[in-house]
Amino acid sequence: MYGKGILKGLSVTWKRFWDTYLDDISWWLSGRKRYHSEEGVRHRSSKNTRGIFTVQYPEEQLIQPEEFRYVPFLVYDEKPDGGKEVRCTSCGICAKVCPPQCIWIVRTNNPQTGKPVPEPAEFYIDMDICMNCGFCAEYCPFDAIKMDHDFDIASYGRNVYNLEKLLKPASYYAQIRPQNYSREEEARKAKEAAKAAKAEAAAAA
Amino acid sequence: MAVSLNGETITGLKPVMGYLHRNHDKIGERNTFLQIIPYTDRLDYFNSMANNFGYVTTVEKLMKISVAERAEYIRVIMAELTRIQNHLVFIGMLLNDLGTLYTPALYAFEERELILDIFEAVSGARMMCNYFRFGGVVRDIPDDVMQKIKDLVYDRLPAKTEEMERFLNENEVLVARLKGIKVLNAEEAVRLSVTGPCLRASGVPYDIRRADPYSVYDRFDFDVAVRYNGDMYDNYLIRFDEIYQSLRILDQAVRQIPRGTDQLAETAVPGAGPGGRGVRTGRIPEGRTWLLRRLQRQAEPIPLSRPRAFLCQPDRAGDHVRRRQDRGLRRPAGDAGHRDG
Ligand code: SF4
Ligand code: SF4
Repeated sequence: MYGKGILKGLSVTWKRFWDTYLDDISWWLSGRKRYHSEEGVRHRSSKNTRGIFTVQYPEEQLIQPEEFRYVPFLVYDEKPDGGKEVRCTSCGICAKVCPPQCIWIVRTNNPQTGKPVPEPAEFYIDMDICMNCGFCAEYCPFDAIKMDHDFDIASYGRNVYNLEKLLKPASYYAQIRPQNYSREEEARKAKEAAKAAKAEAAAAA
Repeated sequence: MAVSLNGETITGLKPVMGYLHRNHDKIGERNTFLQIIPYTDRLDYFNSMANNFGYVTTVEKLMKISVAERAEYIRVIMAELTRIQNHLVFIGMLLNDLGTLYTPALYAFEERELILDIFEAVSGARMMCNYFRFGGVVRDIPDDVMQKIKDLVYDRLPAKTEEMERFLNENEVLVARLKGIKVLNAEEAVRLSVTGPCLRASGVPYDIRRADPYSVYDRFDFDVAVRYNGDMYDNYLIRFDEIYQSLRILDQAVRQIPRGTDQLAETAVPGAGPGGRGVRTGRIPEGRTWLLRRLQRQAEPIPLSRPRAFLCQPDRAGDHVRRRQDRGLRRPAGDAGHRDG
């Protein structure tokens, strides 16, 4: 029969249409919130999702996995007196590894001796050029630069970020990447303990 | 590309050079090997994982870097997932161009989104994954993501692919628009260096994963999808065949993948390697991709040892005429060939 294929196809769209409402009813009956809730968004990203699929950004947002990466930021540790201890030593590795070459670093020199101090005087990343590849975070030996989760950065102007705009506290980093953060902290503590043990052994000898 | 048409038959073709050249080869001259990986994502944003794959295998072959066992499986899993979403979107977009605006395309995008969730969880990005490294991949697949892959491979994708077939295969309008259109026979396909599903839809069972297996493809049991009419309808159907074969490979890969993260290689940053050139072909879902790399030892050491590199995909940057024709043959109802290019 001519048109059978079309009808068969339409049954698929028809089923999808009703699935949305059937699921709405079953969610409602079981007292769960299907829209504008984390559970609902999670369900729509799971294998069981059927019917409606759209996540209504910006009212709803997809759940970001920990590894999600957007533009980089610089991490600072909070000092007890409220000051910022910038982790970056201005070693320049990130600037070298950056594929589109969008990082500029100016080193600090000690005004008396003229020798370099391990802290950046200026640090710029051109976010319009950054390709969000994540290499800088991957290769920084001091865990000083990390990839952000904050992706709503659209603007009318140029986005050249300076040190002030790039710096974010370690607590923020711990919040967006808890697993990475605790792994790095553990490694750092182990390293410090090994160093202390070595110093002790040297002192005892 | 100026195309003269008689109905849906191309009678004349005048390519205009210079478009779609995105300077990848020029950037390749400046960048180190490692720095080129994220650019391979951008060669085709529907297949970033597969492009990563082709590129890193080339460099690994040149530099004689061995790859961690588990990473090989992860690579295959990612490449096959990429193929599935690519083919589904191909079908959706084909229907778009046939006038079925967006319903099939969005059905395809649903499955693609679920696959991209996996990519995002492992690599950090949905499209520009930058996930492969020489000797391995960036990070292991966490258990929950592995579970999601299994869920998709076993529960969802087979059913959804079947649903797509039920939705479209017998549709009389679709059949009328595709059957017998653009017949490309086997000899012609070979002469024009057509690759990928288009070649196989013309009756040539040539699949690089079988003909010259790279990575661990020799360990999997799968059939080379082939169809014989060489028309648009076969080109369309073969995508489904390939999706089912990819699911077969995925099924074996998720069962065989060795456990333990210790088998993942440390990310290797190759320094100046041995001089020479290497060609490696990888099979991205759209067909065969050629990656040619030429290395020269640098006279002076440059920070991060920067070998001269040359990245070229004749498919994209080189032979435009062939490429354009190629595309025309591949996606006739789609974009380039038939209308404007
Ligand atoms: S962010 Fe890291 S890699 Fe970049 S200069 Fe600072 S310490 Fe070095
Ligand atoms: S994410 Fe990539 S492109 Fe962006 S600053 Fe870091 S290395 Fe450069």
